[in-house]
Amino acid sequence: MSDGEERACEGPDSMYVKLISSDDHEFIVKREHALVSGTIKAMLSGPGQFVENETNEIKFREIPSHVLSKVCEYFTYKAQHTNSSTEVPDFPVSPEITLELFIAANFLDC
Amino acid sequence: MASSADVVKKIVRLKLQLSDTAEPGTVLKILQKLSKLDITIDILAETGIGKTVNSFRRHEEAGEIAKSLVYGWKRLVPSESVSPVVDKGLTEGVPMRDNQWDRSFSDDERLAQDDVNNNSLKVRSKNQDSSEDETECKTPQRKPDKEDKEEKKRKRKENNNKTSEVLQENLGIAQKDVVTKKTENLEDKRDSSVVTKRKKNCQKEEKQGEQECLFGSSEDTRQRSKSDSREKRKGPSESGQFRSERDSKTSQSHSGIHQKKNKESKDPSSCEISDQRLRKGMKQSEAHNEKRRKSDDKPLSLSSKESDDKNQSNHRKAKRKHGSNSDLEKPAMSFESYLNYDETVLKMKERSGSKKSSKKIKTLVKKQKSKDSTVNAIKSPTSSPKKESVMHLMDIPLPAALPECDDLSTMDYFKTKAEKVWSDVCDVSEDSAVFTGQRLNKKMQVYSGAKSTSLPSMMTLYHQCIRTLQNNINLLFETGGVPFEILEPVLERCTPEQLLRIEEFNPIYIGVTDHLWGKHCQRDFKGFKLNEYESWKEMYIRLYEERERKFKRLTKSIVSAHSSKPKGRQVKMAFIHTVAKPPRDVRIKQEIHGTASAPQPHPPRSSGKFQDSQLRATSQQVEPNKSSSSSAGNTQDPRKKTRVAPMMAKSLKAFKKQLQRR
Repeated sequence: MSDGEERACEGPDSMYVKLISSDDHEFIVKREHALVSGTIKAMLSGPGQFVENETNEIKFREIPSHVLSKVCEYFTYKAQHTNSSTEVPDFPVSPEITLELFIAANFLDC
Repeated sequence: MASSADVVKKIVRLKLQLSDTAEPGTVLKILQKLSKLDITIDILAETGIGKTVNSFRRHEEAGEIAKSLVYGWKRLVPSESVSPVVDKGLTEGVPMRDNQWDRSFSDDERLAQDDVNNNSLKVRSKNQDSSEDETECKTPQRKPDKEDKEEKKRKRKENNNKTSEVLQENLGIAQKDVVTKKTENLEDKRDSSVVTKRKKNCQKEEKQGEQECLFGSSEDTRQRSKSDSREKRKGPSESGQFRSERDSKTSQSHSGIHQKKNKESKDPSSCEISDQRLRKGMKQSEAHNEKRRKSDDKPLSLSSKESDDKNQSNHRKAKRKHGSNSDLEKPAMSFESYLNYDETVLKMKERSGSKKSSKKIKTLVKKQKSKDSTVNAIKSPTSSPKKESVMHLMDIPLPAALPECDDLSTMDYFKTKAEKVWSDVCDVSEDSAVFTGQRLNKKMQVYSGAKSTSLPSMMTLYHQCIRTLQNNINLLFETGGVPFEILEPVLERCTPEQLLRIEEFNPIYIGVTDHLWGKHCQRDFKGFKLNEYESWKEMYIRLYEERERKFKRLTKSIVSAHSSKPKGRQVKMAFIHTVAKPPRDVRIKQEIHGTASAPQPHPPRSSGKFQDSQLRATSQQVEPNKSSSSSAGNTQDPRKKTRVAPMMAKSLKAFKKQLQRR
């Protein structure tokens, strides 16, 4: 891809945003994928000017990395299967992290 | 010289104007100005005005003027093709297209011979030169050649302006030089052609026309400087003279085109010599230039390479960073099903996936010990088997942060909560409805193997999680402070035992789950009413315990009742007091054949025997009277009456009556 420079999450219209977990792992995902989450959408493009909108970074102090990674996985899954006529498989969730993921999903509204 | 510098500046300005303008009028004006100016070969070479003017050769209006300008300037330049032609001029009308080398040889000889015939030579050369000029004009000249010619022309000029004596002197010396350097001349000629080729190649290699021009001009300057230096070395006095003459010449006005022509009719030998020297100088300077160019290219290329390398390294670093990130975040097994997606998604997945080991290292290095402990604590449950109480470890990170969680999203939270709950309930019913609807609509198809469930619609992560939780309620112990409201869809599907267990581990739910208990009560204990001051849960517990007690009681009694009965296999007698009765068909046959055996009941055998004996006695008495059948009948009569069928009995009575009447 030619957007090597655009991978930096700089500028208001950058392609990617950075999600930071509670244990300081940084997940760089496509902006449009992250906007699946209502909360992230509100943070990045809400009526008020949040800090996150400028830096394109969101820190989640209550979501650990093993959960946030699964959330990012879900973004991909959603993007892949939305408007797809093929059979949509289940999104696998392992029971160990289900509860945490559930809390995160509730928070992120996705 | 100051004036020359001014001229140069003017010409440069005009050149810029020429290149900038598009209007023919301005072009005309500029060309006219140029024609008025004194332009020498030096200036031509420095500014490169010749090239620009030449480009206007085919202009609509200014083309003619441009052409004339160019022609005039060309005459300034002593051309290479001119010198052999000039030599021919020496040879009294030899045709122009002879072999150059022969010419040179013959020329040298002639030079050696003709010392004094300068004037005649001049005259002839004049004539020849005029024709030569034409040829010069006709032959296509490359720019370096042109400038070389310019140099040569200049030198001719200078030579022409010298006194004949000086010229003769020069000739003599030049001739000597020529004689000694015959071979060099040849070589020069060869080399010059080669060098020019090399020049061409070099220029091609440079790939930029602008650079070519620049280099051309710089080359020429260098050549000139080199030729100057060469001439210095060869003949200091001569060169000094030449130079002084040259300097004087450069100051001359351009109006001497015809003057130039006159000048051109100078001593051809001197021209030749100067040409030779020029050529030598050129060759050497060119060689130097090439070297310089190469060396220049090298540092340029090196620098460019370095810069490229830097850029590449930066790119690589960036890539490596991303790569390392991607390495760090390799997809787990579950990602592989999604890897059919496009690249970007792949990369994103790679980035967003988690390779925890390397990140663990990072975190361990970076973090404080407290965080490490939490990280390790969180990770240890993932490795532990499912049966263990995993959830209680979530107590550690979550409670501290939950208020924030609520604060940030309270508004949406409450709005959506009801919707979600309702939607959850609806989903279940809708799902079932949808599925049945589908089944009704479609033809029933039979598949072998397990059917992979596909969702009718994309479920959000929230719903997916709820589904998973509902499927695994038994694993749910401590929830770590998850608000009841969001967990309610899961708890609705609990059995009372599960609900009780969860409440036990999470006391916060106790007061809130009552309606769930109510549902359980209604389901399990129908018809019971809620006591006062009793929650559903308490009622449920009460009723449940009652039932339990009842069950226990019943079981006890049953058990006890069963315990008195003999256990194991028992044997019982069927004919205790009576004689064993033969089966009916056997008995009928016995009566027919009279094979009825004496009744020998087993238990009262002794008494039976007595009776038998008595019976036999009586039967013996009776025997002579009666037939065996009757005895048989008699024997049976005292014990039993032969049971006669009812219809038979009637018929028998009837017969008896008939007999009695007869």
